[in-house]
Amino acid sequence: MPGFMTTEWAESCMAAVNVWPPAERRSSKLQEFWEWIDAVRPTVHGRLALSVRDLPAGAGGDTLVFDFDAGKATSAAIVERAVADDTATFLLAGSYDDWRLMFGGYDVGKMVMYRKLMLEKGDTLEFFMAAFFWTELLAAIQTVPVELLVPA
Amino acid sequence: MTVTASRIDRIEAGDLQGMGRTDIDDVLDYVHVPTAHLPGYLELYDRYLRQRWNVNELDFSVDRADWTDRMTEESRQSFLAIASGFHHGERQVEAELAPLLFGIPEDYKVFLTSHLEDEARHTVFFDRFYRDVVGIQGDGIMDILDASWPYIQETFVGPFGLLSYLTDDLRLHPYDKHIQMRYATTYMIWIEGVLALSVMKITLNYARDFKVLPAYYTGFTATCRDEARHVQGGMRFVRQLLDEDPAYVKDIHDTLRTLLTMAGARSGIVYYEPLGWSEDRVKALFADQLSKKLAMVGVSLPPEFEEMLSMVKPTLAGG
Repeated sequence: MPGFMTTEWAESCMAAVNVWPPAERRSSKLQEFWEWIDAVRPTVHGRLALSVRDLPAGAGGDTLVFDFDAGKATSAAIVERAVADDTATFLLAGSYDDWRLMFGGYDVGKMVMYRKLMLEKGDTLEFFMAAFFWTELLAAIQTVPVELLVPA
Repeated sequence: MTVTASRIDRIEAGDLQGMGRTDIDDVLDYVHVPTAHLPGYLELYDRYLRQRWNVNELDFSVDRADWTDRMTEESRQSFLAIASGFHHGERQVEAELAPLLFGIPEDYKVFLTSHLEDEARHTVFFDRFYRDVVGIQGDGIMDILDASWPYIQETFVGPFGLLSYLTDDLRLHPYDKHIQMRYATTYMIWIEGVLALSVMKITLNYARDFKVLPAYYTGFTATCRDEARHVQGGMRFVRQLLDEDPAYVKDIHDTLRTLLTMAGARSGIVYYEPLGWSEDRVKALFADQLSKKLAMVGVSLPPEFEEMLSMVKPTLAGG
């Protein structure tokens, strides 16, 4: 199982994002919900960064970044937050405890609504133009097996 | 329909029990006054002092009997699909209001403290409804919220997630008037002015017409009267910003563009028919409420918004 914030995990996340949703999730919602996502997908470009504010020691970096071209993730990597601050279109950040909560199955909508992941770079209105594309991306990442770090 | 002067007097002066005898449609009409007649912030604060009600005076025992004995399973499910949006919406607008306090006019600060207290009381109102009527048990406010979460659609996170993130923008930049306008458009125009005032009508008309849930009707009608103060205060604030610089209208348009784009999505179907409504009627209510709020602040929408409005799927939420 890939470790959290490793290159192997980043690549697994990208693969999950690009084939999302699986049939079971697709059938659990109205087709028009997925059509809405398909309609906004071509507008999704640039870099999304997902960062941990207080990552325990042992990872290669504290931020997962995806580069998007028309809604398709074309690359994924682990970088330091400072690099993401310079290059990301949107940067979401949360505490390590909240990331662990998400991997434990916590609702991705609540991750946004209850401020467990905050938009720390990027225009808020532009981000929400693709709101459900982003929440489904979090749901995809949530399904990728990962070995979490143990806080010191 | 315009509410008559005698009915306005009854709405303004009624105590909590009086709200139980007040027609919800009159209260909804009472919200809308021309810009020139929007009350001042301190007048709204004075109304708050006179209209404040005690959520713990409500006795839900008849509601509990109605819920179990007189309502059908279909009507209970439809009711929960709608009421849960308010359960969470009230909590959200309570939790996301404080940062606005820093950068607004001094009189508005006084009124906003009462607005915040109202929203806390509305959160407790729904907490009591879910405990005493629906029968959910839990230790604290969040336990009950977690239990009602499955009833709402994930598209709820659109407007309310946007509000959370704009609140954080405002926390970081409390004097930035572009952010204030984006925030006021999301909170006061869309969530309170359109979503809440539209969807309130559904469950309250049902309770009125079927003569069920009297404590819910009383408390939620009193809530609606509270929302009238919030919306009027919010519209005054939006109008003040526009008077300072008409260019802020772009922030209203940009924010509504995002909100209407999100409002074109839904992930499941809510059946309104058991409560005597249809989706088309709810959509028409949304459009009517938005047009009334924009008229109150003297703003029109560019033609491109027409198609977006026609695509709106009712988000069953308010706050």
